[in-house]
Amino acid sequence: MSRPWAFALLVPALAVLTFFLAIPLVNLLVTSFHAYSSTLGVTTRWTFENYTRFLFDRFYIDVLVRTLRVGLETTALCVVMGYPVALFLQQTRGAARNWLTLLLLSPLLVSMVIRAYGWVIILGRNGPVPLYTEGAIIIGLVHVSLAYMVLPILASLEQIEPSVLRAAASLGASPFTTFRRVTLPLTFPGLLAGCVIVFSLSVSAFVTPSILGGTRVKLLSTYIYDQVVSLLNWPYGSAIGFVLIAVSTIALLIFSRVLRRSHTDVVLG
Amino acid sequence: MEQGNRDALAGNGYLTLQGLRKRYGDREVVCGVDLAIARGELICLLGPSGCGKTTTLNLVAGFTEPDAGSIVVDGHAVETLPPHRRNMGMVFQNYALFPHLNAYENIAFGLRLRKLAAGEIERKVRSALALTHLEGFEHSLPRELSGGQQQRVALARALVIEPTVLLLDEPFSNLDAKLRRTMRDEVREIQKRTGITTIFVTHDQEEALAISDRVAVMSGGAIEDVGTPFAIYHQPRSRFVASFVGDLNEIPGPIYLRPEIVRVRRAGSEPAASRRQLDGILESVNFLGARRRYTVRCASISSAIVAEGAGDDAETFSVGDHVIVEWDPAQALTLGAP
Repeated sequence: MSRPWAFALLVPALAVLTFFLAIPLVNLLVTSFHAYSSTLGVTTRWTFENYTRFLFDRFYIDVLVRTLRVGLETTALCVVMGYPVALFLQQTRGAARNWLTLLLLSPLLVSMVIRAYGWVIILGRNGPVPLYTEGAIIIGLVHVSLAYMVLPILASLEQIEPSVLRAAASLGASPFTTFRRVTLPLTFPGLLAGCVIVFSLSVSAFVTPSILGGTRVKLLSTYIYDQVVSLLNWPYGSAIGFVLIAVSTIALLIFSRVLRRSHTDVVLG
Repeated sequence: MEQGNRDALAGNGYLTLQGLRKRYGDREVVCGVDLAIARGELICLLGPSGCGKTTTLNLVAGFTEPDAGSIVVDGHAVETLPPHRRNMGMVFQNYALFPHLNAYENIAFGLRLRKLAAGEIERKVRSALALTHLEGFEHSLPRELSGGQQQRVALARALVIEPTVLLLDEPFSNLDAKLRRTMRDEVREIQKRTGITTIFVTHDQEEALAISDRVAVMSGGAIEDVGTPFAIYHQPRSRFVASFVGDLNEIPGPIYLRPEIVRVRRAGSEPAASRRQLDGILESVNFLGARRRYTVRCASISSAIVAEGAGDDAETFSVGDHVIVEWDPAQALTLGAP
């Protein structure tokens, strides 16, 4: 295929992303640097005060830390629970595998609101993980995100030649050693992809945290909602949004660094 | 005439397979394989696809559990051990290198698991690299190496752990014809130098004859014949073995003739004494460089006869010529010879 044609095929996707993501984002970024007045709304005055207000407010920093902690814990739980599921799916063949994959994806077939209210009924106020706690939010988020962890890991597992695992065994590696020294490093790209997806979804989730956290445990997305929808303070809401994007991007970069280093350690034994 | 040891279980086997059986569903893939392999011997399992040779190798390696039978290495029964406890080196058709490790680390993999001292690992890997002519490629990842180089790394990786037995599963099938011959000579030389007992699985009869101390021809999950390459070629036990290890002319009688003992002569020329002959019409001539190959349609028998002559023969024939094929009956194959 010639290059102009290949490019032409990208146009629809590029158009959607430009008009419905890039331009609004730039617009919000510009808004976040404007002052807000309770009488005039968004003013034309340029300012950094939305960012300084956030960064020097102990309350908001605590909410940011809580949001990142929930994201990390959700991601960690998804890794621990999802990897065995991916291994199991990989060893399942035929119709059973299709049904199990459907089962894995089934939480995504239910409306987020209905799913969250399901957990409200299950968890209750006096159970082991009561409602309106971080634990409740994490359970709800793991439920939604697990498939996004399992599928990339499964894709990586599928790429491993069975003979490579046999070669490890013939060289004296027990099944556990083969997993640690061959399977795990080779599925590192899928694992990283799964972590990026789950972490991003978790720190930006709105419906699940607002229902399962209620008014007692609020995450950053709930405060953004409050600012934008209830108080109509678009500049401050935008600023919080960009802080969240920046901090979670940095968190992901650090995370992938750490993972890559431990991967190298495994490689060099 | 050179004689092979034709009894599959004769002698003191270093590696002995006895009564090996494996069934998948209602199909018995390996049905009673007996084989004794001497220390330092290279034996080929040769057969068409589906004959059970690869399954037999997997049974020896431990990747597949036998339904019945025993595998004894140096007096120790290993058939119940998992593959990682058998200390056997294996080389796979698709190389099966660890894609995330460079050549050096691929070779060092088995040594690191054995918790050897760093200096010892370094020394052994270096000597394995030298043995397989891989110096300078230590830091290359498998994907940066050619097929031949990858298979050398796989061989070095299998040999460096000093295994009791080396198992090769169609190791050269993915290489081109010329490289295949070079690699097989190299493997043979390394095998002789290290004196390692080796099972080599292949469907390529030329490869099997060229490389082996003995060849075991398999068919339908059992060993049909076993012997030195010379014995297998010249005194095959059955028609199947005769036709699998080389080209075969079959004349009612039945008489079995290899193409190289059949000559073509112009009709009307002087017959040689004590030679059998048939009249026919030349159907095709193939020039193969060192040799010419003639296919002659003989009216008296239903099939065509394949004959060979020197490539630089002064006498040339054209398709459609009336010719005579002749052979020395003493050179005909006798099947089922001891």
